[in-house]
Amino acid sequence: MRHRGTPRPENGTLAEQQGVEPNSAEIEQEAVREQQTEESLRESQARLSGIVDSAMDAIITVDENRRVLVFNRAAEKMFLCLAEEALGQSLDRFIPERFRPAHSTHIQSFGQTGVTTRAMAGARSVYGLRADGQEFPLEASISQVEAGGQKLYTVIMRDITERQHTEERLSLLAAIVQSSDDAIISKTLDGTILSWNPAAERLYGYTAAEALGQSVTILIPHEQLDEEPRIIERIKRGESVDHYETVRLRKDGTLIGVSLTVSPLKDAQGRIIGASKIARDITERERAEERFRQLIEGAPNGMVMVDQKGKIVLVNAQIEKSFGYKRDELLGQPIEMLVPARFRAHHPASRDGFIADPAARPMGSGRDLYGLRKDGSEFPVEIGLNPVETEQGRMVLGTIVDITERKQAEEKLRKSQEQLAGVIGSAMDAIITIDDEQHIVLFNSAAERMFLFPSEDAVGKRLDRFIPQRFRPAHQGHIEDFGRTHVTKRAMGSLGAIFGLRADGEEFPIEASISQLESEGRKFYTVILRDITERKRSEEALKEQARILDLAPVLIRDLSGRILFWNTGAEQLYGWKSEEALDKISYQLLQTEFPRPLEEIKARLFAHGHWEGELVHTKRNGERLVVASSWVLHKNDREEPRAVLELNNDITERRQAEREIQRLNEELEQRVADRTAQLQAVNQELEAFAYSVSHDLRAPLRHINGFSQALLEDYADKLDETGKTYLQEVRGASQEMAQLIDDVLQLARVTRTEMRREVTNLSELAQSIMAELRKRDAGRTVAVRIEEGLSTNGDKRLLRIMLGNLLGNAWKFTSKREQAEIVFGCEPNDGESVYFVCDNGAGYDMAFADKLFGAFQRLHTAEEFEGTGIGLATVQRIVNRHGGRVWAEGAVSKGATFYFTLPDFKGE
Amino acid sequence: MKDKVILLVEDNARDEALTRRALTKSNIVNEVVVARDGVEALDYLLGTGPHAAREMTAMPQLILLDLKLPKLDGLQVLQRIRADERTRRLPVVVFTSSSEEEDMVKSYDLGANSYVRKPVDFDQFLEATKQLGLYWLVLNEVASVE
Repeated sequence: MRHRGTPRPENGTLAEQQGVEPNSAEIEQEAVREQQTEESLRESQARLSGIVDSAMDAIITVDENRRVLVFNRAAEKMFLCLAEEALGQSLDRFIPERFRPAHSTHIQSFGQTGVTTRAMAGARSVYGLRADGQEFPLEASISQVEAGGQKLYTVIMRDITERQHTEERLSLLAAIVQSSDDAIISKTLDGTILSWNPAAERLYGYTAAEALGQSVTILIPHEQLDEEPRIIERIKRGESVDHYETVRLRKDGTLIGVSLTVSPLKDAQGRIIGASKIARDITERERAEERFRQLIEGAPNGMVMVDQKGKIVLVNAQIEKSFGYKRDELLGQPIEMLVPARFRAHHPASRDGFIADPAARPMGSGRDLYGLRKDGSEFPVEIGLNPVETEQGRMVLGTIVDITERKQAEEKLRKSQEQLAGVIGSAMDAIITIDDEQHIVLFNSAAERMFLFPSEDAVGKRLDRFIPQRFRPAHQGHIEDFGRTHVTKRAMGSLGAIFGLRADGEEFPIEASISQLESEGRKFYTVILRDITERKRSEEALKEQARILDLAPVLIRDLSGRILFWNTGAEQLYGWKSEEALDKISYQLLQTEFPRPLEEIKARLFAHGHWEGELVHTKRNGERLVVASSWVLHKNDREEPRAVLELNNDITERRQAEREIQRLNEELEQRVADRTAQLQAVNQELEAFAYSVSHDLRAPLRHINGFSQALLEDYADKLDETGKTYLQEVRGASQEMAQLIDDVLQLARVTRTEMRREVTNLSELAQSIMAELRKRDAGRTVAVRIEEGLSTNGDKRLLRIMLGNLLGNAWKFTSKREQAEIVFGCEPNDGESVYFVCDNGAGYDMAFADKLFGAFQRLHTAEEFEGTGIGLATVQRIVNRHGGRVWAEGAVSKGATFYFTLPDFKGE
Repeated sequence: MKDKVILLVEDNARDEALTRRALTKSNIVNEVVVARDGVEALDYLLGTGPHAAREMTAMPQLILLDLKLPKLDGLQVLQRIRADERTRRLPVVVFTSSSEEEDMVKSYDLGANSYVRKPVDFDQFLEATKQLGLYWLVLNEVASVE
């Protein structure tokens, strides 16, 4: 066997030599002998090269110049290079480049030593270079011979890559064993200790020297001696013993808890030849575990540990107490047995989730959790979860706190808060709490009503919002001052009356008290407010009453009428002094005349507590008074009627004045009625007159006209032209008269017909009137402009007559114009609508403007323009009946403009 | 076939004369029966009083009714005409001097078929009469009494 090279980090060379390589030496010696026999030379040559080729080791022979002369099969394999390629090449080709310079020197120095054979590299590694560029460690020996006058060097090499790996692994293992904290020992099957690491020295107290060769029984307490054969039996069967916890004996005689792992030890052929034993001191662990158990056991909260499958592996006393189970009823059971049925389905999934992603956290994340007792009852719990890494893997430690009491306490608190909120909400007084920055944090419903402001809008607003502007600056200061006083409570307004400000802007007097409290480092102020508007009012009323009491005649009498009190006012009114009136019966003294039977008045007084009415009293001087009497029934504490307070105001004059007014009114009414009756009679007469005018006056006219015509027709031959003309005049006159009658009737009708107001479109009326005029007088050309959309509220029929007259006039008076123009429009003037009808006709002389609207007044002769002089009178009446005015502007030959207004009437 | 009569209820003889003249001039040849007052008109129509012997199957084709009449006025006559089964479908034209709206409204309310105001001018009067005759005596179809 070759020596193995010991690792040397420095360069190593082939030429280094150490010791003899016997095989190669034999070969060389034989070769030298063979040379001497020429005959056997070739033979031996062939045999030699066969040996060389079949050698397991790579063999390379080089000359003095390091040229390769021999390169066997094993060398080919080792360097991945065929012999043909290697022969004649420099040996450098097979040496990593970094070693080459040193290498030739080593060869030469070896040549000079005269030693024939030696191992190479000494303590250092020697490396070869394969054709593929890979380096590899090798073990080599070198030998030298002289042949034919030159030195030949032969190197025999073995690839030690594999061996180096194994060695490295072994040394690593040894290091691990040496440095392990666990005691690692090995023993034969009969128990003889084979190895003993430093941890074993520490654990058991024996040095390696003391322990090696001893029986392991030195470590086993007497009472546990039977363990060893059992372990050995298992080892022989090829089994391992895992985490076997037992007790061992130290050199100093103390016992020690250990956890043993025992594995079979096999030889190269796999036969079990012993056991390796790893021992760990578990005394510390056990102590820690014990402490842990005690801690858990003694914990005030329920604690339960479950394994990854959800099986309960540990519970404490509190759990037993809380859930009503005995410990052995729980251990090994699924944790779900403590979970109410309705939550059970989801629990394993949640549990797995926690195992997968463990972090100490509360369970349930805000949900209410419940535990299930053995008796089926539930109780609220709070659960904290902690992952615990153990030998058996990750477990979950749950801390379960029974929060029944806390829940009850919370419930109680909640209820009391609700009650408090209810009290605040239903309080009659407004309650407002503000923070130290005056922002409202509480605004109860009474405050809402008081300030007419919804709570949800008020919260967050500054209190200033509810204080009249002028008090705001001072108020801020008051609050701050109060905050500094450390007085918790006081009434407000000592500095003057205080006022609130309602959302609708109304100010009102308030009475307020303020209190302060500190919560979470902040000051809060609570103001309790009472609207004292009513009280102020009643105070004012009381004061007023008191003033009145002195002036007003007041008497108090008992139920039988005996006067108990008689004030200055009564003295002055009736003329009796107090002392004269007291104890008298008031009805007798004052000779009271009641408006209705006294019994009835009394019944009312007792039923309602008061009575008001008019009485007639007689004064001391015999004068009679009418008084407005107000009685109030006074009751004692037990609600029994005791006395009557009577306040009497002299209303004699008022009554007389009222009577006078009433008399006058009645008289007036009578007069109006008389007048109305007269007027009605006149109206009726007028109507009858109008009717008969319409009917009876027309008939003769018709006859005049008709018979004139008959005369013209039937007796034409007996009349000359003058006669015929006269008859025509008769006919014309009768027609004129008929027209006059019609106009007068219309004027009368305009005055007496009832107004029926409705929305009337004046523009449309004007259009329709103009259309009629055009139709009647088709030969004329008149430019008419009518403003659109003029409408008013009036009597359509009357307005039509009015407009008909005005437009008719315009039509008539423009008849002599070639380019006649008529305009109807409206222009606003000083807030009212002024309508106008404008023409470019004959116009009139403004000097006679006052006659324009008079009935039967005409400014033109009938020869110029026909007409009865009633049209504008009618216009004026209609406009007047609508509450409007009518006027005109014009000049002779310059046209005329008639204006009128129609106040917008909003219904009668 | 003999033309049916026109009943002219008219108290004024001049009006009667002018109306007859206008009818003649309009070539209306129907017999004109004149009633001088409301009572007489109704007697004629209903076959009472002096007209008790009248042949009742012959009813006037047109009644020209003045409003202002002695005894019963025109509106009362109209009311009776419309109230009686025998006369209620007869065409009645109120032919009057009145232009009072009230008279017009009442006449129509009581069932007048037409309301014509007598024009003062005879030419117009003639024209109105002609139109009335043309319409009521020629064009208009009268419903039978039954």
